Amino acid sequence: MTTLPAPLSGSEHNYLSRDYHVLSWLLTKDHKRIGILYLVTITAFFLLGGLAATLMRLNLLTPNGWLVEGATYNKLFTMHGVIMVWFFLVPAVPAVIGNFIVPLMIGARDVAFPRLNLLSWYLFTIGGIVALTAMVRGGVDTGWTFYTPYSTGYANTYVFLTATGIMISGFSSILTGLNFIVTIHTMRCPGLTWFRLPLFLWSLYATSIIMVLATPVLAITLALVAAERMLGLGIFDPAAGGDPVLFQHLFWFYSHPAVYIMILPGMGVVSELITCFSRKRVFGYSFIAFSSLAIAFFGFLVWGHHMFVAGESTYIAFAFSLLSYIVAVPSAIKVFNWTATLYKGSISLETPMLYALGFIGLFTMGGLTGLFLAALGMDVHVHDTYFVIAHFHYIMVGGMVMGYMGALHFWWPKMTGRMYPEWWGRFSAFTIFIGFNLTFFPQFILGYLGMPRRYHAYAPEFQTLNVMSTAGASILAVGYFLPLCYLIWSLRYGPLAKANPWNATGLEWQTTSPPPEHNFESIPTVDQEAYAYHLMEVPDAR
Amino acid sequence: MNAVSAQSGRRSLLLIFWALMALLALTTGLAYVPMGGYEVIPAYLIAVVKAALVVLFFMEVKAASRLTWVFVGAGFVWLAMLMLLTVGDYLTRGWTPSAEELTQHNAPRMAAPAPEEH
Amino acid sequence: MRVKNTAIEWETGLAQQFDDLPQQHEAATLGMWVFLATEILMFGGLFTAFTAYRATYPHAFEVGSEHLYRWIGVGNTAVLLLSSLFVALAVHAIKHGDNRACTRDLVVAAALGVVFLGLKSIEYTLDIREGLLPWYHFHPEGANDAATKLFLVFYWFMTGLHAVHVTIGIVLLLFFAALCRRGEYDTEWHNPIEMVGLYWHFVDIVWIFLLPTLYLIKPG
Ligand SMILES: [Cu+2]
Repeated sequence: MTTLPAPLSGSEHNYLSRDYHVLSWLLTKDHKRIGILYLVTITAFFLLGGLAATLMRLNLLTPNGWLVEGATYNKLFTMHGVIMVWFFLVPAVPAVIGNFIVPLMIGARDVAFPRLNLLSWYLFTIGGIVALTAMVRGGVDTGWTFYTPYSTGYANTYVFLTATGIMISGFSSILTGLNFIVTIHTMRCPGLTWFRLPLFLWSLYATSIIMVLATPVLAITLALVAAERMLGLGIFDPAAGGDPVLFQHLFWFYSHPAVYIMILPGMGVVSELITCFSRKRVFGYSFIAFSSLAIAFFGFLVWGHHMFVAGESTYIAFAFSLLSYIVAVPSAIKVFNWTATLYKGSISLETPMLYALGFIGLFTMGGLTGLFLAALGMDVHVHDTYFVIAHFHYIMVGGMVMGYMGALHFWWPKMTGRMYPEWWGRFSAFTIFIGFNLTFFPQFILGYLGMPRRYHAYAPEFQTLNVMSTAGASILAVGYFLPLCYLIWSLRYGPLAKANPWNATGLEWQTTSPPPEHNFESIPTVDQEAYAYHLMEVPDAR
Repeated sequence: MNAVSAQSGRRSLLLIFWALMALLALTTGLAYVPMGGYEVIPAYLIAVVKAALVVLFFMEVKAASRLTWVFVGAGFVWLAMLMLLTVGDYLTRGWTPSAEELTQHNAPRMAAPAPEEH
Repeated sequence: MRVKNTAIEWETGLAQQFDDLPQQHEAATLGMWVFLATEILMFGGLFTAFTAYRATYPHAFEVGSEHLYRWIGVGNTAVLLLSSLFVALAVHAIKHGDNRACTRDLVVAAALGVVFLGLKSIEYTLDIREGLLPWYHFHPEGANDAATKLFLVFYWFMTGLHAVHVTIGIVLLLFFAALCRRGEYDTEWHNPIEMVGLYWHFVDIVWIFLLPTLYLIKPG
């Protein structure tokens, strides 16, 4: 890792040019191609989920909801939530970036179980198609949370089909997690000890732990909902002795940790980007590494903060509230360490770095407002208001989508062998940042003032802030649309990428862009820590 | 030497099996002994011991790497978290006095300021 | 000794992404255990829901348990423990290079799995006849209240999911027994036998917990 290989580019025998036949993609066991398959699939889902959001924001331009009826609005926010959570955010960084980069980062030929890896993409796609079928046939109106007894006894929409789709795609995320855990444990190249691993791998490892331990509970919960809906068993029906709150326990045992499935990989990306673009070794490597594991562990002990006003006992609510504060500690450790890494670094503001900085700021806001919600008394006031919406969009969109975009731009040259136009990259990063804040900051205020979530109409005094929010959403939409255009453009017209365009550390940069089918000409060895930027000779201008 | 170790290996597996059968007999027998609502404790304790025997000897975790131990443990630890916090809710729900209880209890005090207490 | 992975080595069962057999063995074992941890949490969701309701309706759950055929439950436990023993013996045999013993033990284990399912079907038939199926002519003798029904819902759901696992296990056992008979495995290469063994033991463990959970609730 001390010496950089001569810049290679446009290798004749890379994984893309190996075979152009469609079947060579659909039957591929190459982790890189599977990553690309995921990229295409989740981009389609992102557009659909975005479309639903656009319609909702347009509808909220006026207090009486001029565009759609209440029932349609309910289906729109359900569609938006289901697609964005399970078919975009959960697989975004792990399944796209992770699949592509993990074996490269550890100097392996592939993941441990390539066939399972392909299977997981198929499960994901089938699950997605099943869920989409439900939406096309008439949609679901339960919200992405499927709360009982509404979902089991009253909703007249395609709950069963949607739940089945989510369950199927859940098995795909279990397989992805399983693959990463085993790959990271058993397939590291010689010399790559745990404490030399890039921090992205630590965070992905923690994510995988959550995936394999939380997702099965979601699967069995949805199975119970489906069974109850079909057979009327009364499992969650208070009229039949069941307890709807039990559903919430089981659901949030998955869905709170799922928040960390969605944010931890983004944190890993930020650790890569911050070091590379400030040319410094990371501050507090082991703190960042272990904070990922701590988040994965403690993240499982806090789910009850979603149920403070749902009827759980006061005593358990008290425990959940306290435990929720504990998760803030490892998250804060990460933010402090990134900031310390930036300190006195020679920072360059390339597109990926802009996204990383955006992540840190927005995630911090999302995290701090999360503390409001974890407080028992405060939560009663803002529960189920736009405050909650704004909070988790700062985490998921401001955090994770930023992280995903940063990762996509950072590794795009490696994935495609092409550079994207830098000016457009920076321009859209700024656009997204501005659009995002204009969309969601007003929602904090709206929620604090008492505007409830999930209504297609609202009191007239909230209109100004809602118009601001919709205006922001339009800017945000432009910001997302631009990368779609210039990244596709770059596939054909972008300048060829060097093997290591960012002069980054990490094994993935030591092979050609794009990499050959088996990643490396010879198995690499590692003899130093990750992020040894201080030991790296910087070649002249990039 | 190989044949000897093969023999002894088989014998220890048989031994574990008979231990499991003995525990099965024990737990079935205990099911007929009323223990005032605490029957559940020995029943699950015996189940845990049986499961541990299967994990350690049949699944050969006793001789496995530390990593395997970690993942075996993780499954059960995570289940314990799910179980304890969820059931914890159900067990503590009764602790909170109901609205009627509160009003009944506080009725005199709410009607008139309570006499001075020490 | 580290064997370089070349095309020739593939015949020994070494997949091309691995360097050598020990690495592949480590990966397979770890992968299987991660999968089993997933399974623990999947059944764990059901056990948790069951326990929450049992804490809410302690008496009704005793009444519900009384309706079950305790002796079939206990007998089935013995059957599964015995079949687990045979799977352990099969793994032991192949480690010592005894293909024939391994094949035989796997088949016996699968046969015991079939016995388990047979007993379970008899039990299910009797249950249905007594009106214990919550969504079909539900009319259990004595207490016919919502909470007893909840108990039975979980009884069917948990044993049903377990039976699905047993069925998959039987298919896997027979499949690998056939491969073993063909001489695919030896002292060096027998990952799949070990993996299917782990799965089968796990199915056994689930039943070990189902027994006190469903059958042994009511004293006497
Ligand atoms: Cu949460």
